[in-house]
Amino acid sequence: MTTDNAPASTDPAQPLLDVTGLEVSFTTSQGVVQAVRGVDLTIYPGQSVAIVGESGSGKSTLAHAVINLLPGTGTITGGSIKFDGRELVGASKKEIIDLRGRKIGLVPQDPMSNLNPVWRIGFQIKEALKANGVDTRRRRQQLTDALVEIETTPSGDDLYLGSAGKKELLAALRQAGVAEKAVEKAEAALHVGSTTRAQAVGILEQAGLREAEALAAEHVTGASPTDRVAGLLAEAGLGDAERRARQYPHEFSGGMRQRALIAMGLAARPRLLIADEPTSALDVTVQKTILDHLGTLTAELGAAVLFITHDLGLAAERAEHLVVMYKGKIVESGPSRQILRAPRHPYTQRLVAAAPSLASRRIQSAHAAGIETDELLASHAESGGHKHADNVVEVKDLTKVFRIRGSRPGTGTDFTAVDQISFSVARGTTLALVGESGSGKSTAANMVLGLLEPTAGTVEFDGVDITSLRGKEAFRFRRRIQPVFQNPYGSLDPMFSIYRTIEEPLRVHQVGDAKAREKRVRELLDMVALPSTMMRRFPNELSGGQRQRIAVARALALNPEVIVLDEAVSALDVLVQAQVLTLLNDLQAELGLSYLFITHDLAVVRQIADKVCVMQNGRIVEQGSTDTIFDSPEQEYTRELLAAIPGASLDIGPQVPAA
Amino acid sequence: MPDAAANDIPTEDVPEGAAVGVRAGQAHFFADLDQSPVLGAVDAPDESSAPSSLWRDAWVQMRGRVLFWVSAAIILLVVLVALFPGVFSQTDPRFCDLSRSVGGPEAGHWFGFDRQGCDVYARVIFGARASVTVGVLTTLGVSVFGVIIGSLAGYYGKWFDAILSRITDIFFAIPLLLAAILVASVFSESRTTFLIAGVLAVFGWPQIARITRGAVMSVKNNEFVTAAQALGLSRSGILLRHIIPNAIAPVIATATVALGTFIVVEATLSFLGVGLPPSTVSWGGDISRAQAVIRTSPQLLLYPGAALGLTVLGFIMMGDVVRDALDPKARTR
Repeated sequence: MTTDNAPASTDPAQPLLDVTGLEVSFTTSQGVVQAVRGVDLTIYPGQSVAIVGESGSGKSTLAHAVINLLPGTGTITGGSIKFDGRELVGASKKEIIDLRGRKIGLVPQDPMSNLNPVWRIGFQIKEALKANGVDTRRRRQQLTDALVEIETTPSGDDLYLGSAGKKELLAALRQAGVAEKAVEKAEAALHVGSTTRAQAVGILEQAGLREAEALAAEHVTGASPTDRVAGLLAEAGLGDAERRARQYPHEFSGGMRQRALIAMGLAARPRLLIADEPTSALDVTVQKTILDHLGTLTAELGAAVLFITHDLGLAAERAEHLVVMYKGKIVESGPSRQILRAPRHPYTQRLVAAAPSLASRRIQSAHAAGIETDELLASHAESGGHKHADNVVEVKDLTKVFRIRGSRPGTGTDFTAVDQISFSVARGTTLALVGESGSGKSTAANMVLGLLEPTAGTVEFDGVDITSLRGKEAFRFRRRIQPVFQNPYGSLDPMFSIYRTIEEPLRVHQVGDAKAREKRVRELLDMVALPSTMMRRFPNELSGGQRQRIAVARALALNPEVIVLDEAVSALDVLVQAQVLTLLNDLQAELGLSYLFITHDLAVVRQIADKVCVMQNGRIVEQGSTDTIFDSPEQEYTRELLAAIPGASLDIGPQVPAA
Repeated sequence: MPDAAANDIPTEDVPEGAAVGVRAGQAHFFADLDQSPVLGAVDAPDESSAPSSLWRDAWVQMRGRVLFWVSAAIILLVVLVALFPGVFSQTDPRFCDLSRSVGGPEAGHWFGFDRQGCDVYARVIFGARASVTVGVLTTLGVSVFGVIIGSLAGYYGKWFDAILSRITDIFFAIPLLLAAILVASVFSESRTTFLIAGVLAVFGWPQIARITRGAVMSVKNNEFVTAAQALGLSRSGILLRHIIPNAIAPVIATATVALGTFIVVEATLSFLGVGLPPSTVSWGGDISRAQAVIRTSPQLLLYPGAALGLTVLGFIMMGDVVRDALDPKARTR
């Protein structure tokens, strides 16, 4: 029943993908590692399903096993994968390749590395079309030559409108005496390379044409590859598709690249689309528009979607069925809302409690209902507001202009990365600087740290302008403000042991003797909840969260007053992220630290910040207390950022759901 | 609109395209806790394995390879011979007896005699010192000079880099052998191993400088460098303490291979008569002299040639092993 030419079964009661008892293992130098251990998964046609789990849970491995694209030494060691009734485990290479793209599409994780930089976007999409033998000239020829009955079937689902056909159709409409308004409407609705014959019939009928079917059959006779590329790009939400198709990947932003990849994934109208963290590399607002678009598009095409994500809020919002994976096993699965409302497995409960998107929604719910919640880490917001201002950092009209070199000497242009921003951090509180990539938030942070000379404006630390500090004074200032950076893999020197890493600030600033320093290192490790035996280890042996805790310990070594956290938790899994946030909050309460918290993630801000500054294109567009910003945002941009927190459409109460 | 969801009554509005009700195989399922225990605290450190640094990891990787032990054995042998030639041969390599010219092997003189009647075995043994000395000295000189130039150019960048890089390019453009022949023929009177090593070092450093520059440029963009700046560490302090240690691995691998090539260049110079003077026992010189009788007694060419080949092979193989072990991309955590 599943030969190539027969129409695929579309019975919605039959599972499209049925995985049972799947086992995948990798051979490493340490022996065989089981990445997926006995997993069952069912996806019905047109359904959206999400696999949620932390890094290393096996969620991507599971998805890649379905299309047999396991990396390296990965092999399927047991179980079965049935797609549309056909067994894929043990299927020949040719069968699988036949399936990829044509029946199962993939939208990969990283839009930056998944497009070939030397080929135009249009060429790469054409390649996808050709590889899947979709509506290329040869296939069209075969269709028109041999299969008359297909030509006359009313659905005509694999024939698209070509650019010539569109002109003819519009001319025919005008000839039939259809009003100009209706013609224009039809022109907008008919998409070259994307509208099928069946759809065209509908559009023509709407325009008031009686013999729509015959006309469509006459003019909708298939599109050239160029038309198809334009149609696919337009579908993926890239306007001016013809020009876009002629551009190279480097001319696209991250969001546009991901749209192009979506166009490719959907090129052959697959029945299942696997989206592997499709938006985790993108800005939050872009993430939302792309996911919205992907949702409507796959619903229109009737394709099932398998999302792979680490964000439970996003998964619950975008998928009707959730699968939670932990250490290669499914620990819980079921309807999204049910899992969110009543998670049964302890791991799911932890995830529901920790996911920042969900936590921020709960805080918001609690706030609206006037309930106290211990999830709100920034508990000192009120007291900070009442005390008269003791601002430890005061930034006034801070500006940074970078000179961008032109192609010839002297042709450079100025780029204002930070444009006259002013804010202050009250002692013992947390100020969040929120913005998307390129908003200038990290540049601002580096100026506050004294690592970058401002073009104009002042940064006052405890009443002293830090740009005026020289020599010894500048050196002493370093003790009072310390950074923690984003990338857990780049922020520790791989050649330094953990002991040397944490001891370095003490040695540089000549604090105590060797013995006192060792005592202090033990103390600091204890503060970040790591055993002192960690001292002899090296960063490459630690997990991302542990490295970030070491970075926090190093920053604390000199007893600073302010810590600048530049996306310090953004690269971490949700549970680890929650742990580090709690740690930071405890340290703040204990040591009276002030934080300048730089992030793109408003959900985290809701939990930890007292005050929020929203940055866009180098300017602060809105600032205020966290409650004010979340309750009554004034700027459109802030509203967009808030709406982009996953889970807006979910019904989330103020309480962490109990089992 | 975060508030909108706040007080909503639970609705059953399922997203578009969703079926109503739960279908077969999709009921709410949760794993048995015994089968899937949630292990311990979040992100607890793994203390089961022994601590290891990058260097330790590299060593563990190297010692598991046969090639490492083979090349290490060759290098150890050659170095021992160069340091204590007297242990391996009691014959004086400069004692020659013309009556035994091109004599065959005999007891105590296993490799026979050369054209001058000198013991070939003794000359091969004593010739090692010249080759190894030139190789080691040149590599040291090249590494020190190359690392200094390369790291300064890579770290300070801008015009400083532009100047240093152009100078590097100029030296890179001069063929090593050609320049060495030219300079060595100027110092025709006083050609010692030190002079030869010096000449080779002067023209051999650009390769190391380029590699160091690239490595430094990639290391300096790491966040731990910014963190060190935020600590108040000086620029030179950061370069010495953080950047060079992280950039040195490819330099070590390249230098090991280069050591072999410098030995070849020294032999070539001696062969051409512009290297070490005939009074110094060297493989290159012996190969040169064996050339005259290559048709009648090819074995005279064979012994010093084999010694040279084996030594160079040892260093090049070792360089390969070291490169593999230090390449972070080849190693998985």
